[in-house]
Amino acid sequence: MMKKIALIGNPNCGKTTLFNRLTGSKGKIGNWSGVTVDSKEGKLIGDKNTLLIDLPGVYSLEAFTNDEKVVPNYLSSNSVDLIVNVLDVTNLERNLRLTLELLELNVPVLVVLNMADQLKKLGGKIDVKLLAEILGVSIITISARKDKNFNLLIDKINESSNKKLSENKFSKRLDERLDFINKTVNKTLTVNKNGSIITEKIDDILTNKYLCFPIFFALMYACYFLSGKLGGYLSEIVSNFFAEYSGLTSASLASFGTPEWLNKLVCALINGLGTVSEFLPQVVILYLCLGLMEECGYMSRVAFFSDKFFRKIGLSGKSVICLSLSCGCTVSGIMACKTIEDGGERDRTIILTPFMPCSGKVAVFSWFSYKFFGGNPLISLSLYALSLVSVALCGLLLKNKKSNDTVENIFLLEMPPYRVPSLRNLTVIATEKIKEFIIKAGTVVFSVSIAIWALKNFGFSGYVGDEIEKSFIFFLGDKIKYIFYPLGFGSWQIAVAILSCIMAKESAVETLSALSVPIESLFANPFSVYAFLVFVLLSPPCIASISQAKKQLFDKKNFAFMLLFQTLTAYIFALIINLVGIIFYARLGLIFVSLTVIIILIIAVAFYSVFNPTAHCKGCKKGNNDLKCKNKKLFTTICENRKVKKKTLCIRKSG
Amino acid sequence: MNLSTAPEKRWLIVKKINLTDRNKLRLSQFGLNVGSRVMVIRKALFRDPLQIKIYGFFMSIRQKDADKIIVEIE
Repeated sequence: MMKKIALIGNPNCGKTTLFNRLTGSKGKIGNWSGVTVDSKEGKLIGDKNTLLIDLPGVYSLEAFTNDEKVVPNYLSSNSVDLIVNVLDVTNLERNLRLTLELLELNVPVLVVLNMADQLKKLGGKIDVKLLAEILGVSIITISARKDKNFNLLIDKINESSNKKLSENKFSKRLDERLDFINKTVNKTLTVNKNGSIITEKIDDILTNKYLCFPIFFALMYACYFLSGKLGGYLSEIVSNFFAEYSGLTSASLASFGTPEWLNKLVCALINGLGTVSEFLPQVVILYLCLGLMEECGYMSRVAFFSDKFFRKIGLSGKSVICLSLSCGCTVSGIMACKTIEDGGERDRTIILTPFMPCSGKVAVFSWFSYKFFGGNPLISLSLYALSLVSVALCGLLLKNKKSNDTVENIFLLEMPPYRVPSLRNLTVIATEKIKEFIIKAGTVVFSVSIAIWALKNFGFSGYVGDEIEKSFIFFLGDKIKYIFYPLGFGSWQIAVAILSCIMAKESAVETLSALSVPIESLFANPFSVYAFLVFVLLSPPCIASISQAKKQLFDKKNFAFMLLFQTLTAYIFALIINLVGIIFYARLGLIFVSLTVIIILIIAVAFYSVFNPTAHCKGCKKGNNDLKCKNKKLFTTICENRKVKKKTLCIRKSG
Repeated sequence: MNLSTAPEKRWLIVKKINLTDRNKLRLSQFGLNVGSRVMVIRKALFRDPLQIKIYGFFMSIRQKDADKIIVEIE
């Protein structure tokens, strides 16, 4: 029978680090370091019958955010043989609150005091025996990073799952409990030095009022620069390898007399794999950089000093974490949205997060900038800036869009002390990303390559080979290409490339190189190329992200809205850029241009007013969400719910 | 005085919290209830949010919520 062991504890106490250690870093892919938002399973090393489950951090079983709710939900729907409660021993008061709640459940608990090394640095001591006596559980101190007492822990785990439950009873009343915790900590813990001095000193610089933003942008630039330069260097090696391999294979297959179509198929597969693998080094380096920033605790500081600005666009500091995770992969960014309490804010973040350039999009950017702009880093950088601008603009646009769940929730964010990132965790990130990539390569890239090969070489009249005009792919692209005429890239090849982006954004590169046509001929002018990149940047993300978004959205009706909104935003931005290009290059009628702009504006305004269910009380015809409506009266009109709402927003019941 | 107007780098004691029960519960999960010791470390640009220290760890809290927490210098 499979034994189940759950790892439960406060956020930032080292559960995931411990989990990685206990499972030999073989946990399933799914979570980003520092932001565990869902349960993650893995087998205990050396014991095939024990399953270890890593859960999101909670402060108490009374959960507030969606990621916290995972814990009580998991406990109520699964029977667990042992709970390993991981505590940060330098923060005992707060951590013990959860411990007392866990001891009330009908499950044996093993208390693990983590971060013993930090406690030692503070010159502190903990009386484990006394604490164990008071709580009535077995306790063990470890240091997950330094592997101290690790084997002892495994022994205790095997022992404890057979133990009986704690006999001690604790008061049910919260204030008495807190009192009890305080007394317990005073009795058992002694700390000499003030531990947060180093953290405060670093914070003095990193969160300094005037330096925080420049430092942040400098760090992000450094990440991209490093991934671009170092990754670019490694990419060249990879692409050379694949080119040679493909050539050799083609030659040797031909010499064996294999039919042409088979030869082409094999080469298509190798080339497809090659074009996408080229970007693996860049992606891994980017992930490592972002992971480093999250592991050491910097991301919560970013959320801290950018909170005010994000509130201006209807989001919050937590959204910063989602946006920066999106720079790695949009799926992670959307998953991290689980930590946002307010439903409306969560939905808005989910809609806006895909605007950030994910690693797939960066792959497209670098390929195009290499082909057209001589590898100028300004292209990627400007697109990154554009994504921020579009997040800000669209945030303002969506700001009044309220979902059904808008309770004035308090904003609280913990800022953990700065820690040297664990090398093991970083290795796990890198290997997980590489694994994920190989799986993606094996499935998505493989199938896209085959699909393109099939659509390209076959048509209504059977095998067409090089007569591409008769193939399916031409037929498909030819019908859709008209949509893209105003954007400057109205050709069937580009149309097909954009369609392939649904699977993965990188597929655009794969598709275009498989169609082996001189790329330059497909674009009207250099601005059109940039417009294309903008379209790729802002259009709806790959299918993996879309399905994740569907899961996370609070109000399911927003799903269709999200897709439409993103597509329209991408189209409008690309259109504007292409128009600038037309004016610049063709000096065509200004009238034509202004007419188009006016038409865009009309469509945008119409779209916005039709699809924006701004919650406002029908009573106040001005539709103001503010405290004082233009009639200079307080917002006291009676709403459908027959209640008089004074200072809060009257939320219309959804029909 | 409330948390947002309290002086920085001085230990304070929380006297009263004027928030909804739900938010009070959320605060107490972090260890902030009547009688706890807090210290305002710094304020971000435009004095919002605040970085406070409770028990030895740091938290960030918005100004409009800090306005509702009444404190006294220790």
